[in-house]
Amino acid sequence: MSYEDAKQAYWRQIRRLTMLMTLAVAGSMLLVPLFMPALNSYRFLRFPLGYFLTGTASLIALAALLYAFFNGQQKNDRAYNVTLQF
Amino acid sequence: MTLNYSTPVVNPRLGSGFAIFASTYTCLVLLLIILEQLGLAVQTVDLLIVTVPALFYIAIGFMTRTTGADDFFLAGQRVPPFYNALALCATVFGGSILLGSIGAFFFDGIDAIAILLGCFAGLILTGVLFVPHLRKAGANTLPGFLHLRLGSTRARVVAALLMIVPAAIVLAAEVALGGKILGFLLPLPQMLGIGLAPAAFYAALVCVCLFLTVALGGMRSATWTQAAQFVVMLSILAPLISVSVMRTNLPLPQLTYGAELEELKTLEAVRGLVAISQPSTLSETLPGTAPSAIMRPSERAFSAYSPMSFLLLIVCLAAGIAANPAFVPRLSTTPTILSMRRSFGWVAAIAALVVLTIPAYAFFNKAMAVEALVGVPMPSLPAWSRLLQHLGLVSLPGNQFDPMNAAHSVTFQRDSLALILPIAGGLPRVFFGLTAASALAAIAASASAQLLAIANSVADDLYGGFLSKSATPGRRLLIARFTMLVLCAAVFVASQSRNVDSLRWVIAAFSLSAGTFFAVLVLSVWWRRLTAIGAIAGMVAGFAVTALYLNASGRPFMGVDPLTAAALGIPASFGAAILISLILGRPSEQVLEAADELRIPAGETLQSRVLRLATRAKAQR
Repeated sequence: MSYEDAKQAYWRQIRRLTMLMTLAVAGSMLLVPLFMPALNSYRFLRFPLGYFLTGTASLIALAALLYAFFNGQQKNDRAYNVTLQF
Repeated sequence: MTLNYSTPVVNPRLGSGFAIFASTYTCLVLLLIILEQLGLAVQTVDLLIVTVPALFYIAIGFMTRTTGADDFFLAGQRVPPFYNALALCATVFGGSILLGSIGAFFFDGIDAIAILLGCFAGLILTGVLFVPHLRKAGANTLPGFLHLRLGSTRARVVAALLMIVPAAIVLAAEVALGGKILGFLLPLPQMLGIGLAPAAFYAALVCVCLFLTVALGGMRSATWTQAAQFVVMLSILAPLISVSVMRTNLPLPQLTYGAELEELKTLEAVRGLVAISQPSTLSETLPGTAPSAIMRPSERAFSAYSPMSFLLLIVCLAAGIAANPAFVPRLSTTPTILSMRRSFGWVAAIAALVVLTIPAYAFFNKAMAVEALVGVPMPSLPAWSRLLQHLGLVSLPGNQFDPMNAAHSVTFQRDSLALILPIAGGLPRVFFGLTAASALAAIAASASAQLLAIANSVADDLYGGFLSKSATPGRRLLIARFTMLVLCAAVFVASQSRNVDSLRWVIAAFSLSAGTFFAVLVLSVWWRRLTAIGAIAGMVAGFAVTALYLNASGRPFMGVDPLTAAALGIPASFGAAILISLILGRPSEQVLEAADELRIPAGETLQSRVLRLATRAKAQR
């Protein structure tokens, strides 16, 4: 693989990862709240379920996903030999 | 090819420094609790708990003074990941967001989670979209980044001028709020023999403190004071955990406030507190600064904001935080790319803790206040309600002849609601001061970040980058300090206007920075074809649309509330930037090269490449 091809392939991977993660952010921050009215009649730990999913569960899930995202980026850097990292 | 690998060395004694700071602060609190029991006057307790941390910030600012441009603009790029995360979280969750969202939860119920979700999503979005690329650029300011990426001084100047508006709005809002909170704790200026109006005196104190903390060391001072301020902010957990243990037997308020929500639901039904349960526009529903009574249900979703307002608020705040000119320099302050990624790992964890804690605080606070005060006949009010009224935290109108009439008209003030919890929980007076001190810490952190963003941009982009390109670093630092002084004076005047509504102002400012910079920042990282003229068009169009719509009156366009004007500004900005870039010319080879460089998180930073090339050109001449 030439240097230019490798650069392109590296950037494609990064773009794919970023798109997936942006979708995850949009999903958990913009879609989950819409289910609040429907789910709030159930309760979990005495919280209305919809609110708990919006205000607690999705935050923790997103924080964990961000770790995974950065791990993915680091792995990609190593795979494409972007090793002269400062 | 020579590469710049010099990785700055992190101060190995940082951890012990912060441990000493945290233990000193804890000791102060414990000492004051003991002295209070021994009969120390409450005024002295209030005074000490607020002034000692402020003196600490000023001392840290003095100890981290610097004359180096690297230190002044980017804290020497040697901030360890964890401390960088602390400083970033402290600046994002500033006083207006902290106190404003506690107030919004109180009056609008669970819908107010939108404000916090917006802040959290903004931080995550920054991590996803910008982290390695902006660190790779290594720019001092947001306009400086655009200059490195697009090679255009015009784009830099336009960005530097436009960023002043949102940053100054946040700064004025924070200073006004800081003055208001100080008013609950400090003696009146007349008692000290100062002939100023109380509001002016307290706001002046906030401005002086802000100037002293950041003027000497710039970003370096700001970083370490903000990290210390976050430690003080965390002390808000002390009254919250105490109350949580008293009411639920568990020291985990973030997971136990569901019980308070249940109780509030019952109380609201039994006492008939819900007067409005249909959403209206966001601008109307968001609580204002005037004292008002509780009218909306606590746990009915979308009973205050419509689903559309809710989502647009999240989008505007998220984009506004991701593209905020005050937060972008934070993406260049760690030594390496890996440490910047680590830093955002910490940011996610710390921000999640903050976002989980604020609603817990708000609902414990609300449950106690409603249970004891609202809908309760005058004779059955607890003794501490008099103290609340004396401090001006609530107003309990009515008289002894008609006790039932008074019961429903208890009014609360949005910005001082957080101070009710320690008193309602029957905690020692120190905790009242502790809560105020943590709110003030949040205010100072956010305000100093905005102050620094404007001053650095004026010094580095407008002066050093445009007016006098050969300016020495010393000269630029002098200009930055002078700008801070002028800004502090201007903001002091602005904060004295009667209608400063800190929460609305901060949301509007985030909307403005989202509309102006979000599209251009995203395109500059993710679209090679962006040209300088396209970027200028994008920023100007986004700013114009957002600013005009923010000030528009009349029927909302397509249901978009003026506060979430960025919902129109961001598409306008994207549209203008893409169209103009495609129509007017192609980017030059150097610009494309910079775009490609930005994609590879290794090698030298764009900033050091520019410096190296400039040095080489000078040597050849």
